[in-house]
Amino acid sequence: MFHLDDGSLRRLVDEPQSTLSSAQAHYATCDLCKQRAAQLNATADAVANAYARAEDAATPQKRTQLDVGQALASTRARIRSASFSEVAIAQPHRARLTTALVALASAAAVVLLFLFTPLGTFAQGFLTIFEPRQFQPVAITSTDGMNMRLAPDLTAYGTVRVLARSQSVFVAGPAQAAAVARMPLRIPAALPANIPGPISWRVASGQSVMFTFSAAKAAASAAAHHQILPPMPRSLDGATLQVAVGPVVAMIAGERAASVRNGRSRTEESPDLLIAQAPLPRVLSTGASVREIESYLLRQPGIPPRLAAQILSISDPTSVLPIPVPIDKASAQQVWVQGVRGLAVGDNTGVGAAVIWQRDGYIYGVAGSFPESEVLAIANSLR
Amino acid sequence: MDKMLAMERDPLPASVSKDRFEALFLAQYPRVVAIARRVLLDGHLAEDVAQEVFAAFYRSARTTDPSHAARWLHAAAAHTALNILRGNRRRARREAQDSRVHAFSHDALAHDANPLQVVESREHRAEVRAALKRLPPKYAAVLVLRHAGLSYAEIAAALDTGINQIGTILARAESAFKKEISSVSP
Repeated sequence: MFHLDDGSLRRLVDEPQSTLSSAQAHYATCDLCKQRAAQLNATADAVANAYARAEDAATPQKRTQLDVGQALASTRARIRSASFSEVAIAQPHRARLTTALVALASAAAVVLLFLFTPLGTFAQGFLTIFEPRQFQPVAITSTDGMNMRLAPDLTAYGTVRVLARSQSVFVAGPAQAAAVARMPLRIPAALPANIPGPISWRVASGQSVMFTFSAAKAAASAAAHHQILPPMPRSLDGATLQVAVGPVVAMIAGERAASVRNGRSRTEESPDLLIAQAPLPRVLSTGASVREIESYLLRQPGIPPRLAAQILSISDPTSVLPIPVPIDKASAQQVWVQGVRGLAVGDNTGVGAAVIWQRDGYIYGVAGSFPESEVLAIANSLR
Repeated sequence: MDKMLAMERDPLPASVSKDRFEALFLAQYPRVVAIARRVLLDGHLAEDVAQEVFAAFYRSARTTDPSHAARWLHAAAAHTALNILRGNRRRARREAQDSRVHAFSHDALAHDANPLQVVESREHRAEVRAALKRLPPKYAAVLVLRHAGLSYAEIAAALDTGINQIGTILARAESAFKKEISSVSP
């Protein structure tokens, strides 16, 4: 049997009753694990001693009993006066939302990620080259995610030319956003009362990218990186795709660090609520079919076979956008939203959810740090 | 619509019952103070942070469900205190103020009769804070939560991390912390 890792041994020291019986059984008979546990225990004791000395040094406060009643009265006074002092409270749910937004690959995140990053990664390049009419979840694991980051860049398979580069600006409100984006906007009729301000509007102009497959470039790239890539089909060599996305309008609520500097937008934290809308992304091709491109790209190194099988099983790849859903962090289900079928993704902690749908030539996404039912209610309130 | 979007929120959400808030406060306040104190090593400042955390919770509360609320409070206390530690200015100000109070306090004089001991104690506190400050944020958070008495399950819930990772992070954090502290006996 394998020896116990440091984490298991550390927990065995602190919470033996919570440790697996198989681990306990191994520990009982393994001198090496006992020796390592003793070292970990000694380190833990040293840390506890350091804290104890520091606590002694922190007297006389140590000996003072907490007056919880007085503390409650003081806290109520702070709440009433709304005079939040210099302490910037770290908001745990926001931190989780950051993870959730990225991890869920939610509607808005998919669109925004595509727009705000170069057509760089394999997954983005592949997954968004359609005109999506429906959305289908594909399950991925965190290991899949790491493997896909190791997949070759799309530039290894051909030439990328950016025809129009997206630029993002903050605007004053929905009217200006609609004017700048030149598209009709849907605005929420109701928002949960506990969304913290401010609410801002951001417009990212459209981005258009042309990609031309090159068998010679793929072979050269593979040789340079000592990789063996599947041969590119002759029908793909020289084929050109044009991908057009945006403009994207985003309504952002509770994004504390959003700011405009020198006319350029800057965002440092994830918002509590994000509503994104954009024309459907489109792909034009000089001849290569979606299925040909799909079957070639999905055979490349780094693409998890399970993910490839899920995507290949989609019956109409020309109109179905696969949405990667991390199965250890989120779950997805089909929902009715605005009278059409959409996809709702909720994280397992219940603190974040997103819904994506398309209607009348536009794609919409709502993501927020709310239960799925509330996010769906916001989505259905868009008018 | 703009008016609706820009409207002011009620600073005291009706959804948060005062009784439930009070019950939560009474149950969790000592622990939230303990977490902040593990970081700041300053009882008064730890209480200040704890009260701010509860006030922020009250204003932004979406639930008073005890388990959700507790993990929110624990994480907020750890991260807020660590942010202060890293920001340092507030604590330095407080410490300067305290040192003046401390110097003239009868209690302090009675306790810290030996000036050398006083200096050594302050140096040790500074070392502990500096060691904590140099740890990666997640390591520091796990370390202070554990040494404030939270179970592995409670730490995992607060930091939204798998429970199986807590032991590993804690072991690494303690090892790194020990290396940082020159005064910790091997």
